[in-house]
Amino acid sequence: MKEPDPSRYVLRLFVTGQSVLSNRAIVNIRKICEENLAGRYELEVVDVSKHPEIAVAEQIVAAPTLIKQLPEPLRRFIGDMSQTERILVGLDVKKAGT
Amino acid sequence: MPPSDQILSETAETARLYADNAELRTRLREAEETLNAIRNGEVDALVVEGHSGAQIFTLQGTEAESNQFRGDILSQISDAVVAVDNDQHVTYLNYAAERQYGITASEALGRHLNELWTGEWSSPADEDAATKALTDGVCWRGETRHVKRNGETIHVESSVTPLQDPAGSSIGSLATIRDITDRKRTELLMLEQKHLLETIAKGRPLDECLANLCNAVTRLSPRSRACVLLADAARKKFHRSIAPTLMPSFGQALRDAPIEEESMGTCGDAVFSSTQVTCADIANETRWSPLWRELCLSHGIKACRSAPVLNTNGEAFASVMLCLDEARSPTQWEQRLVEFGTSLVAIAMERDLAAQSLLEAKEAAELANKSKDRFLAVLSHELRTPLTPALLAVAALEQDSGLPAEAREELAMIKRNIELETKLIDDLLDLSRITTGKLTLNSELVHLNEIVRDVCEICRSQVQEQGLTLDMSLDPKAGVISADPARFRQVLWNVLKNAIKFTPMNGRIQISTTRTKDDICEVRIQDSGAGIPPEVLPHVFNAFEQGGSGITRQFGGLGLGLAICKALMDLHGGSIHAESAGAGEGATFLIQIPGKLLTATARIRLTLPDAAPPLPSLRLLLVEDNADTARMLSRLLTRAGFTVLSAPNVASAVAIAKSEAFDVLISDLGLPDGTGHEVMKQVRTLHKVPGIAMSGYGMDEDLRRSHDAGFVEHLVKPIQASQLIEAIRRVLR
Repeated sequence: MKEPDPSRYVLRLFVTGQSVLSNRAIVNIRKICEENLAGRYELEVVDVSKHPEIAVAEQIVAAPTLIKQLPEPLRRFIGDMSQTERILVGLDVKKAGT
Repeated sequence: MPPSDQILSETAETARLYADNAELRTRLREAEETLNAIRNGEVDALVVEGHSGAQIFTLQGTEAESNQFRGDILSQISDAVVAVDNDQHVTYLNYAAERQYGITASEALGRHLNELWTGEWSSPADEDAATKALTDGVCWRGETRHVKRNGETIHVESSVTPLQDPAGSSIGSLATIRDITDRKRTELLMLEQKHLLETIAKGRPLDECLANLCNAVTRLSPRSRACVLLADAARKKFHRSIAPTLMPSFGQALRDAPIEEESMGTCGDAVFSSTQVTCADIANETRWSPLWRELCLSHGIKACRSAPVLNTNGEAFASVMLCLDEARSPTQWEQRLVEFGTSLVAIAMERDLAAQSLLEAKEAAELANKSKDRFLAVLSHELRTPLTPALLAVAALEQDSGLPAEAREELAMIKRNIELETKLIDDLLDLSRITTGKLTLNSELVHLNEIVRDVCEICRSQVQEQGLTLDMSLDPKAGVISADPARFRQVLWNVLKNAIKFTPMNGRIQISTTRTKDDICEVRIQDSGAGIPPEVLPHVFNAFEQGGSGITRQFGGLGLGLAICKALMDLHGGSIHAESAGAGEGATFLIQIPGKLLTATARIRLTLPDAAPPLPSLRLLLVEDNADTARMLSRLLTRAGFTVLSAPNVASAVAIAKSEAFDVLISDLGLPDGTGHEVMKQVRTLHKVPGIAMSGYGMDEDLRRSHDAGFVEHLVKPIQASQLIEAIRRVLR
């Protein structure tokens, strides 16, 4: 089910402190990455309450939000990252409907 | 522009427009999704850019500021803090945790806790207690070990608290983890050190102590193994290796490894240069021999540190090698273990050396003591031998009725002095026998008062000569004691003789017996004599001490009497004590001996010497090489009515035995061509006659040897004619 993709994934997850949704988002996205992108991804977790300036620069309006910075094009996902199928399609790991 | 190019360019333009369109659709969809998510409560914070920069609005009623404050505290504290969800996925870790486990928050978040460390419990009970506490929703605190991702094990003190959401349902747990490895290791190190020092102090063999040390190193650092190499006396090579945690082939290969400038490996280098030597990557190190490199690698040793063990002169005489199973420099802790090893090896070696020299000293002392005993035995033999003919000559002369009275007096003086000389030799021999434990008692039940009366009787003439008064006060209830009569008499006689010796003219001696307890009898001998100064009193029972040299000059003697008394009373299970108010105040000796109360009907048969019946005319074979003794004995025995056949050596004794018949063999033991034992053995093959041995040696061992050879009696020289006749009477009984 993995497609050979030589390019690395650079992901940023914006969360806020120790909230239930943020924790859930962290755990879910880690699972998705490990299962589909093991060894070829970088995940940075950014706490917007500590770094609001980064949130503004990245045009983040709500947390949790995941940004796929690489490979292009840039993609955003919002919520607790529980909709695995939609995220995989959005990340271009999986074709829609397959 | 050629038409084809124009078409291409139009196609590219169209493609770009399509792409832009698609991208805009995606962006629009993302915006819609964001809006929906906010509407549906799928987000918990909004970022709003205002006049004073960005502001974060949390949607769960918690203030961003207080969140921020909490976050600051957690990042400041030095203990690691880790939060996990109900499935043990990491949802938070502070800066200290990132450092402690060598992982960044971004790397760690969302991962299972197992990916940060593996827990090791000291006991299953701890694990059960922790699980139960978390299930019950209460805090758990305890000590465990964490194996980190790099393989390092740390000791931690954890405090784990369950986390709940505002509605009260469990959302995971929060752990505060303090690294107590240093403290824990130091505790373990002290404990191991204590055990090792105990083993060393107990005087266990050096190899065992050093093997224990190597095992301790591996217990303190599971991935380290230690090897101790001991240099030979010249410090030219290693001659012993102790490495119980490595394959035996490793230690064997390093035995005889040279210690020189071009050393085989790190240990030789460390001892040669008296400095610590580290090799962080043995596989890629060319400083030492390829042989050593191969040896290490084939035993799984990738890196090592060797340290010299120095003696008090600062010379290295051993090396402690710490072996690592991966190519790296030793950690601080491992370096500390090397130092721990060298200091303990130094202590163990020093203790071993001290024990060895002590053992050597003890052996030398024992040897010296043995030769002293032997010397005493030979000396007393040599001293006794010339006394025998002298004593026999006196006895022969005494029987000469034509002797003038004046000569008879002088003869008595000669006899007294020979007997005194004999007594001194006997004392010397007695003491050496007692101190070497070679004296055994022939105990029997005897009446205490009768022995005391006997001894007083023996001394009566001397008491009268000195004009002394001897008072006897004997307790009729003194009863019976268990003692060797001859030896107990010797004790009393010695003490009484001393009292007589040290009491001046017209003095008074009191001797009394009492039963002080049901099972203790006491003899008290009190005199009004010279007394004992207080500084001398504690030493009167020591051999060769007699109250100072002045006393020796005035009164003579070797000062052995009381030492023998003390030893004999100890053998009897009794005691002897001296009391004195000081010089000139007289002295009191108290002798205590275990006694038994007997009922009136129980009588002890006292062995009284039977009246000697006349002996029939007998033939004796006398074997004696000392011509004087042989002549005197022969004359006295002939006078007593015996027929004496004389032989000066083994050969002539055997020759006579072959041709003549006789009733008793009397033989000296030391003969020019053999021993009296040989005479006895050969004679017994010819005649069934009893034998009497005569010897200057009177140790129990000598007596036993005579019996083994077939002698019935063993007489110790000097021998009086009456003793010999008594013995002949006994062997014929």
